[in-house]
Amino acid sequence: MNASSFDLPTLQKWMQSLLMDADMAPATGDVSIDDVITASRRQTSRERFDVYANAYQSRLVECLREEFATLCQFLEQDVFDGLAVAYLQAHPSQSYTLANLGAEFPRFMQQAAGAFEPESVDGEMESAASGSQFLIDLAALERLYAEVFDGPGIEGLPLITPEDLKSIDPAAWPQARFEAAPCLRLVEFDYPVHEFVTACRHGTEPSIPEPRQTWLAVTRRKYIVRRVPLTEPQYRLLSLLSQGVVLGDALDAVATEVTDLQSFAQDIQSWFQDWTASGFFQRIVVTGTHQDGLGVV
Amino acid sequence: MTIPRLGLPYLGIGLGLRTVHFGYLLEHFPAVDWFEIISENFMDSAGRPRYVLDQIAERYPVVMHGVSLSIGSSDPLNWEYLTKLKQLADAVQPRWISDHLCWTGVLGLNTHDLLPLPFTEAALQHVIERVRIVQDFLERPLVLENPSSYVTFHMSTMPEWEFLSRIAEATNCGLLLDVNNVYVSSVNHDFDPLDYLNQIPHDRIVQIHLAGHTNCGTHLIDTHDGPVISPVWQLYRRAIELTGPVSTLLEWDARIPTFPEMRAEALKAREWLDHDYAGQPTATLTETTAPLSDEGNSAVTSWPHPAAFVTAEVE
Repeated sequence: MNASSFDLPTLQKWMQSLLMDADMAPATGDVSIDDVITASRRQTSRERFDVYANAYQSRLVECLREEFATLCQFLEQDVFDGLAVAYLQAHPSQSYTLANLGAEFPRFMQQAAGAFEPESVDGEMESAASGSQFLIDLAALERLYAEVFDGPGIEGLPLITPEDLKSIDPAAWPQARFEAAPCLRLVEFDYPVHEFVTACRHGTEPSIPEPRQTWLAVTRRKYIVRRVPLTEPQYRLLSLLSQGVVLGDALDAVATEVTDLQSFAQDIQSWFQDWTASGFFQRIVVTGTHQDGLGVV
Repeated sequence: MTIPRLGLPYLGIGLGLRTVHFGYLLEHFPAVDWFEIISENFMDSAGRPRYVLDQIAERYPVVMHGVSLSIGSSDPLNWEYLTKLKQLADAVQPRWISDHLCWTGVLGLNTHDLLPLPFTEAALQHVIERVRIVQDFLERPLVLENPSSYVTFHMSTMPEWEFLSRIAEATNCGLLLDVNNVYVSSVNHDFDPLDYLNQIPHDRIVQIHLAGHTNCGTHLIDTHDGPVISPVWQLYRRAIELTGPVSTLLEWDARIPTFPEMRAEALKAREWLDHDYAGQPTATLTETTAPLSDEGNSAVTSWPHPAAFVTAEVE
């Protein structure tokens, strides 16, 4: 095949393959850039083409730097950029929106964990495995922030209030189902990455935290992403409720895992007051009726 | 004779709606004739960007400007995209919807760049057919913008202005004339920008874009990261002479200044929009003799910004 026989689809596939992976041989034989692209008075064909080639990678890496700003700051830009380029080669954008560009980045980090050595990034890392997990957790949290920020939320909707809770017949509680707010995400990490991200955003340069099992509720109020640290029982209970398990069954399940049943029982009421005040629930369904912010429907 | 601007309204001087200005806009609701949005930044948004857009659309005329229609791609049209575009239009009620004469990807991929087309008869027929389909679906004329470009193809058989004009003639679509893009492409491809302005069908120009660009020494890049330079203002004056008043928008997408600074730059267009050209000599370009120099900025850190990325706000 030669350039003179290029139709539009062939030209576009040729150009895209060169843009997305300059090392990849296009499936168009020996066609060179000179054969397809004209030179200008001041630039060769190759130099002209490279404006697009440089822009493709630079623009998308910049978007990933913005979305994963703390990870980029921690890794330092050159290291992050290397990861970002590898990610773009493995996951070229298939979306009309840049909002989806980083969607697979945390998973990519997980899959690539064995391939990069965090010790070489920062000597404080105790082991490659634990260092990798810190980076994966960091990427996952920053992606989660982006998704919650622009996803569906509760602004403008009636919500369950602490007063609504008090109005429910105590006998109906065991069969109550809680419908989570659409922006509520429950996540579990091996590191307190939320504290690390917050510290970095405040301009400090914190040291890498010690591993610590961390449970978070990430949600949104007034269009701002908020994260609420949870205890493990709180995380388990909220997870079961958000899966549609009725309150009685969820409490029974969590009770089997806690060591101090008495304090668990004492704390539950205040948990629900805090959670409703934080807008975790959109609706409570009680034996055939719905209870939402407006009362029984 | 086509009705000027396809009968679409003259809106005055507008500005791009950008996330860094959200707080200022909601606090001040400043005097601005109209706003242009990047459609893709709002099509799926259920968060603050969409909330701010709703507030803006209640108070100002809005125009939707896309970067991912990919009207020139040899891939099939993306109906999911078009459906969401139409849904956003139904909600926002824009005065018109625009996108670029370009392709953004093939084989289901998106480079998120505005890639150039070869100006051939086959490509022309391909784009004409797709513009017709899109207009039928959107139930309104599409407004197509001339992009900045950095390469041209041996296979092209006509200049860009002719390609664009024939699309407009065949489909009755509108044109978004980006005078900065004309200037950037004219320098990169060694043609006279006034020829381009003189040849494009003026009665189909619905909107004009202005922007800053970066001089890389051997070429220009449409970076939208600074004020409009003098030769582009001269081209703008010529465009307004040829078209009469046309809705004008300043694009500024990188190193974005404060809203008042951006607004002040845009309002410089008023001098030319309000000018009485009767009996005046035709505008000429006096500063293009040596637009490139070795003192241009580095190309390494400059690239086109067709779409802005929206970053999350976290407590």
